[in-house]
Amino acid sequence: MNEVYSGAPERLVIPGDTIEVSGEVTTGSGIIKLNNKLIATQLGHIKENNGTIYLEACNSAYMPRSGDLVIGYVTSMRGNLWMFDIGGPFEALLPMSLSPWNTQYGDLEEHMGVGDYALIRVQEVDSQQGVVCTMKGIGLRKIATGVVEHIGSNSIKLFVGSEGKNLQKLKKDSGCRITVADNGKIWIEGDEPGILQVRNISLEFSNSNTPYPNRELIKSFNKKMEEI
Amino acid sequence: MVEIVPRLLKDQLSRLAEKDCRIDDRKRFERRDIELEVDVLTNAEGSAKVTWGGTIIYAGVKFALREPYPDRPAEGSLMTSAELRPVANVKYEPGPPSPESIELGRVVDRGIRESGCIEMSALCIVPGQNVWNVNLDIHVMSDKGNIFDACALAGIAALKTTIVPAERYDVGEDYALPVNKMPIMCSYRKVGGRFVYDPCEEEELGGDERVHITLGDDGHVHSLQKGLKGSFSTSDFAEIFKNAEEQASELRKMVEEKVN
Amino acid sequence: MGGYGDVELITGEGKRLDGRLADELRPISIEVGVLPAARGSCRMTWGLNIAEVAVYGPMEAHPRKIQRPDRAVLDVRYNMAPFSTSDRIRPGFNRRSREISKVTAEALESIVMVEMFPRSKIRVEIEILCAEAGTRCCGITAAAVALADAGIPMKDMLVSVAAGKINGVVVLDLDKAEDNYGQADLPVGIMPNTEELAFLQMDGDLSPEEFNLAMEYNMKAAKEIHKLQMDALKSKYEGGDQ
Repeated sequence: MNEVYSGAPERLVIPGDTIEVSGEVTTGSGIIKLNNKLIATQLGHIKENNGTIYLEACNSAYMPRSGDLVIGYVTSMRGNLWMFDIGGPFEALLPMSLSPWNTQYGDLEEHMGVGDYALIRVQEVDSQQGVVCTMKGIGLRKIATGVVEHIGSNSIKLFVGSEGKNLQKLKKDSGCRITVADNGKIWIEGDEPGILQVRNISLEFSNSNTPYPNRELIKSFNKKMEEI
Repeated sequence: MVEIVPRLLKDQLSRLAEKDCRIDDRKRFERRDIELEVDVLTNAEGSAKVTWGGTIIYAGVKFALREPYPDRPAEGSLMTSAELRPVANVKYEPGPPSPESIELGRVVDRGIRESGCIEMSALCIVPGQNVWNVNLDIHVMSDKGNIFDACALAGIAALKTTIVPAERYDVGEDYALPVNKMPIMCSYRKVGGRFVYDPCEEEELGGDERVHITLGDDGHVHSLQKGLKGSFSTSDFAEIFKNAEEQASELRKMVEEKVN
Repeated sequence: MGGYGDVELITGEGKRLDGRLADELRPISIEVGVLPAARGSCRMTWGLNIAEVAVYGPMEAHPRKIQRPDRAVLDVRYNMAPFSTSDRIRPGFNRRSREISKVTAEALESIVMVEMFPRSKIRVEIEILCAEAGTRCCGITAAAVALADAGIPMKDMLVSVAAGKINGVVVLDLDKAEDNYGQADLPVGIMPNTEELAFLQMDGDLSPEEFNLAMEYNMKAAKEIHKLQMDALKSKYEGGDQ
């Protein structure tokens, strides 16, 4: 493998820090070219993947991307579409034509009303950050049972674990179905004791005082996972 | 800003309540961790910082000299104000004071001023000439639920550790502000069908009726405020009142430790 | 700026009232992640100044009229708490706070990559809890850290610091007495990695040599403060990777 990034492995950088590289390299998110130098734009770790170096931010707001699986709730309805809060800077639109129901204009409320949660997918994000979602797809639906918890998009990687090992362990131990959405929400379905077990872990994140996993949170989370 | 309450949250709160659980894993009358610091602001004559769970409040006391009002020649005054600024939470958009901000000011003012914890006559320097105008300002820096109790605690802790700046105004020697009562506020919220103490952010969002009780040292009730919606039974009230006495006594000890 | 020459603020040996030399900063501390409700936050103490900053967003820009189709707007509020100064400040509209909010927003414009968030706004809430000269510099410096803590993409950090002149001597970082009785005040905003100036203001009277010396002090101080910003941001993660 061609190592182009010559800095310390997974170096922690802050905005404005220069990134040293040898030779040609493609840059991914979080890195810009300024005055012939590569500059980090966020607090995060520099990583390399097949000749592309990118920055993995420690903390960033959830920015929806096409293909993301998200859990959101209806904030309003107008015409033939539902407006969803999916935790991004803008609300997302779900038009009736992209829902599994075939209803008349104005009969949205029969199927989903204000305050209802749903598992949907981001279909498209335009240049003005307008978001359109779809409920047509396997597994996508209104969420009527179980609980929805917030772990934050910055904590998904930690929660799921490398190759999903944390998530598998949690599912097995609790007997619950756990859906982890890209916008940092999780949906837990199962019996009450099972849900309680999963929440015991997810509470580390929802109770936390920071929107990203810092050292203390990582430590206490790992400890709880070991006890399973 | 109007907040939408997700239906699933309400269901979840009810189910948790049935099992005597709360959404953040606390017991029904369990309080979050509190850190109380005093003398934290050098330009204030008295100050306190309360970190209550994720809620953070600063309180500062400022003195000014003025002439007494003609109808009260031997009395000073105490003004209490509370600001809920956009810094405290994403839901507080900039603009004119929100209904929450106005209510906070009123509730805190009632709890502290109406308890009579400071004698207005004690704020008189020379009758007919000089009196103290005391301002207690409460600043909410982070709202993660139950700002009312946290503000009230910061307010009374600041007053209790205030030094009257007589030297600076050349009217004598500095001395401790005489605060002869310690009103403590305890807030309860109906969540999932039952009243709990010290609601967190989600319980405030998904909860219903609320009540704020201010108790004095002698167990007397200084003020009682009920939120707009709903009603509660006398047995509800008896249960809450009993718990409020316990909570208030603990919080009072916390303040007393800082005074000494 | 008050009367000059009548108050001795610096001795012949170059010692200032608080013991500092001409080119020394007051003690500074920076902490991040201090406000649990915010997306990003910073607490900074600078001498007796205390500033706490919360960052929210990016979020949809409301009202519609402030929205820009191609970028985010920086919605900055600099506010002094009523108990922050010797004489209480009445809450409400304050012309000075408005001006500083505007200057701060303009300074932050040089570093925040606003083009990444069309139609959005980023809220920067600066609260001065204790004031003792230099609050505007403190607010701007803390705001840059809070933005970095919030993960808002920026092309550099920003440090704001001021130099001035007292009793005819150029000094760095004026405290309250020096600010009141000094002869000049030169606050700047510096982007530490490129050493570019994001902003520069001047009050009072400085000769070209004095101006250069004041800038030299500012630049050197900016490097020191930048290191403190970096340490504060990294301290939560160093050695704690997932």
